[in-house]
Formats: sequence, structure tokens, C-alpha cells
Amino acid sequence: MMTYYKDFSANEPPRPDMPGKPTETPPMVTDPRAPEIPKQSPKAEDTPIESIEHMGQIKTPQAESNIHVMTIVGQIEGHMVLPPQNKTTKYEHILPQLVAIEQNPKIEGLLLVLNTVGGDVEAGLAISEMVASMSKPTVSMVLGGGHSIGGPIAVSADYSFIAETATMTIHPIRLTGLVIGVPQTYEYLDKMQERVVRFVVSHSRITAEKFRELMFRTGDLARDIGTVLVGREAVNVGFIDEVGGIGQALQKLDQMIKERR
Amino acid sequence: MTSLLHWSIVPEDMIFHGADDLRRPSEISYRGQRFLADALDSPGEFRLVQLLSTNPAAFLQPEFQPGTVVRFPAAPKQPDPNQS
Repeated sequence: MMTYYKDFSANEPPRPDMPGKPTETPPMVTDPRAPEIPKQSPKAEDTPIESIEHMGQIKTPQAESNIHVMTIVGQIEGHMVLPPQNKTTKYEHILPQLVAIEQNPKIEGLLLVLNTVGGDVEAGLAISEMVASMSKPTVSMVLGGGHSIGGPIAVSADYSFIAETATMTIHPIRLTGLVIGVPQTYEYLDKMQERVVRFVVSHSRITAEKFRELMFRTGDLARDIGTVLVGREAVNVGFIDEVGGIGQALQKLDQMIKERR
Repeated sequence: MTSLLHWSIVPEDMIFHGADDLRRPSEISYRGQRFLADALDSPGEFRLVQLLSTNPAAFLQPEFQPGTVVRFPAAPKQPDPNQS
């Protein structure tokens, strides 16, 4: 017998807004089908791994890594929850992770791996600003694609890499939803676009003129205005620092960590 | 719907298709942390949506990542104290 999910709604009165939902389950749940897990000491109730460590039962495999890898994939989810057909990166989870990475003395560097189709501008800028303001060395690596708001996230790292075949789309920001007042909306969009341009220019070698030129270029994209940069092209315009793979990215990060020590 | 700045190469009608059918997640407690989670079809199963914590280290725990399916075992039938 075991008491595993013992914190589940323990000592809580049923909430009126959630009739019959989780609070219905008794606080102490015992299930004969569940695997036998020894009773955990109060100190060790956080995670199974921790409990095993505290109980000294088995030697947990510890991959000693001084860096953390953060994958930015699919859509960057922002102020709106996206329907389940989207693969999403949730900024509300990424931001505290970045705090933890910055705070944890065992973590010395961060590798950002990007394969994103874009997403919410504010959420993307929030992640970018967090990465850019970290005191620990950060390296980003664009694999597959780093489109739209993926661009600012890629350049937010101290050093950026792009795979030979990876692409980055630079195109204008658009507004979803109801538009009231066209001149004001235009002003607003222009301002939002300026935020992105300013961030990219201050965190990469590209000039504002060049970035805007790429953004508003016609004839390159079938459904849109803008440019697709493939691998080396992104480096040539100064958007990304270097063409390379995971080997170079890790080597660069390692070198930056050693310099910081 | 309010105006949103969504900047993506995926067409908007593809991204937001089905957005009106989304259910509101409920708040649950799991392994000492509070979460927003979607109740799945089978009873006692939830998919974690968001970790509600102020401890940054909790966000690095793999089992607290959004999208993790957690299963609460069904409660065993309690013997009726009034009988026998």
C-alpha cells in the first residue's frame, strides 16, 4: 500500500466553482494497481528522483552538464491559448525557467535551439529580452527555421548560429482581429514593428536600413512581402553570427563559459 | 476577439482554427504544486497547462512541463461503516 498523490486536494474544502472536479477525490489515495513506492520522508516528497536520492535506494544516472538547452519550437504562444493543432512554446513556462537558469550556480550557460514558425510578438520579445539580459553566456542555434519573431529570439543570445539548410523569414508584422481606426492602427503597427527592428539591430550586426529592406522586399515570397534567408545568407546580411552545427555551438558556449570564469 | 500581434509564417486561419472550442482549464494540485490543467476524457486524467508557482526551480522539473499527462488513481471503494 502506498500514499502517493497525498497532496492532491488535501485539507481543502470543495470549491464552489469546480463542482465534482478534482476535489471530489479523497485526499489519501491508495490503489493496489499502482507500483510499490516506499513511503517518502517529508523532506523527499518533491520529486521521485529526489526521493530516490534521499532514500539512497538506487544510484540515479546523473548526466553532469553545466549548460541547459532550451528548445523554442512551433508557435510562440502569447496572450491567447492556441488550439491544440499548434505545436507551441509557452512563454509563461519559459520565463521562469530562464530565471532559474540565471539563478542556479550549477548552470553556467544556455543553448537556445530554435525551430519556430513565429508567434506572439510580445511573448517573443519577452523571451528575447530575458535571454539578452542574462549574465550567463548564451548561444542560439537555428535549425530548420527561425521565422518572424524567431529572428529576435535568435539574435538575443550572445552568439548565434544557423544551420546550413535552416531558413529565416523576415516579413512585416500584421494585426489579427478587429481593426478600428485605420490611421491609428497603422501608427500602432509601425510602432510595434519599430520595437522589433530596434531589438534586432541592437543585438546583431545588421543595420536598420538593411533589415527594413529585407522586411519589405517584394517578389521573394509568394504569399507575402519579405525575404527568406537560407543559412549563409543570414550570416552575410549580419543577422546571424555564424553558419554551424551543434559542435560549433557547444564549442563556442564552452569557450564563453571558460572566459567568464 | 481583441486585436493581437501575431507574427508568423503560418496563415492565421490555420493557427486559430478551433480556438472557440477551447475548454477552460481547472486548477489542480499535483506533487505539492498547483497547476492549471485540462481534464481529459478518462476520469482522473489531466493534461498540465500551466504551473502556478513562484519557485523558479520548479519550472525546470521535467515532470512539471506543460503537456504532461497526469493520472490520479481511482479511489478504492470504502467499506460502509453502517453495514455488518
